[in-house]
Amino acid sequence: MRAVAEWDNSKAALGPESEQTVDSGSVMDDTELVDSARDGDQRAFETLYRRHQGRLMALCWRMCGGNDTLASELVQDAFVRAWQKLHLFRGEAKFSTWLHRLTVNVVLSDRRIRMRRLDREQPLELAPEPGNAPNMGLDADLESAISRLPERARTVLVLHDVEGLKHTEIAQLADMAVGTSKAQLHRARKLLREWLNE
Amino acid sequence: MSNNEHQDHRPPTLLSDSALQDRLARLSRERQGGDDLWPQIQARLEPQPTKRALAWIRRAAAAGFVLAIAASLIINLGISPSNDTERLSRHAGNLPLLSASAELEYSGALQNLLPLTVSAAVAQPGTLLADYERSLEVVRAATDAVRVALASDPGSRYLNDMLADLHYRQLNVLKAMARHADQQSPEPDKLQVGLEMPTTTAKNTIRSTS
Repeated sequence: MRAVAEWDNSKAALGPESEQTVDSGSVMDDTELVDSARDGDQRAFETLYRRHQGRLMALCWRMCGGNDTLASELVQDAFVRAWQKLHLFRGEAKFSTWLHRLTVNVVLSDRRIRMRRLDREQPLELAPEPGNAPNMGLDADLESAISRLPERARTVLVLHDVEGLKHTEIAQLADMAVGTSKAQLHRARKLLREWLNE
Repeated sequence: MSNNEHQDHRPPTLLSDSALQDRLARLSRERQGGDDLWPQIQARLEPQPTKRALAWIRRAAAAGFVLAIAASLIINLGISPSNDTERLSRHAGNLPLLSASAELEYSGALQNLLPLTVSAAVAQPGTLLADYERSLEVVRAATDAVRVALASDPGSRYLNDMLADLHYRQLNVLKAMARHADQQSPEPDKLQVGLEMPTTTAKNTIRSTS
């Protein structure tokens, strides 16, 4: 617990980008924090949240088409699910990788539920909320184009081209054939090039 | 006219596939700002299960595995639950924690249904009755295991959901028994009234716990 507080204080003093610059002796790594959280230490889990929420928010925000409200809900769901399943984390992969996969599952599971509720063949395309492009600078047009993609194509593109997953991993997570994943990626890139070249 | 305005009128350079991939790979993987979600997350965190409770959860999971075998037994007997019960069973996965009053309601419903199924069981062929009894025994064993686990970890949503699911499965088996007898009964209406009762109670239970 003391080490968590030290890490928080050091990080607060040095600013948000200071994680790498803090003396490693006073920083608890993810594995130690997970151990503490598994024993019920919510402060340790809060530190994990603060460390990883930016990455997960970007992932959820892109996967759900630039909808801030939904992305926030999904990030909350992902961390609650992670807390519930911490006892299943064996440390065979990095915690960030485990959390990332869990979050993708939360997003895809939420999408399946929404689609079942709507009972439509075409998935609901969530419109990006207005004024959602601060701090995107030159990438605003690209982010906007990604949000316009059909859901399956967008999912594959974000996971493959932005997050760096392989087709086999995407196929497993999204419950689709590897060939389908490749076809959706091709379709997504083609649409993006067309829109960006307009 | 400024230089920027001149640049806007130049024909755009077509984006190649590799250039697109390069831009995608360079997109920020972090998104900061917005509300602090931690208070909402913290409000939803349940206490972590103790090691002892975890051991019980594993045992309950094992009982659930046996339960799945029992469910396949029921299916193999050609008994399909009514649409209503099936819907309720699916709903059970999303139930919030069972309240004590809901538990009492279930117990009451089962107590009311049991005499009907016991008398109905007399009409069942011996083999079929034995199959029903085995199925019920497995469900009861799983229910007992989950109850013991709940005693160690009363707040566990997972265990409460499992208990709710087991209640519905038990009702399914009992209803299937009574339905078989109903087909052979000289007074089918009497049994039918009894059959409807647990389902109605189950609906009320869902409402009362929602």
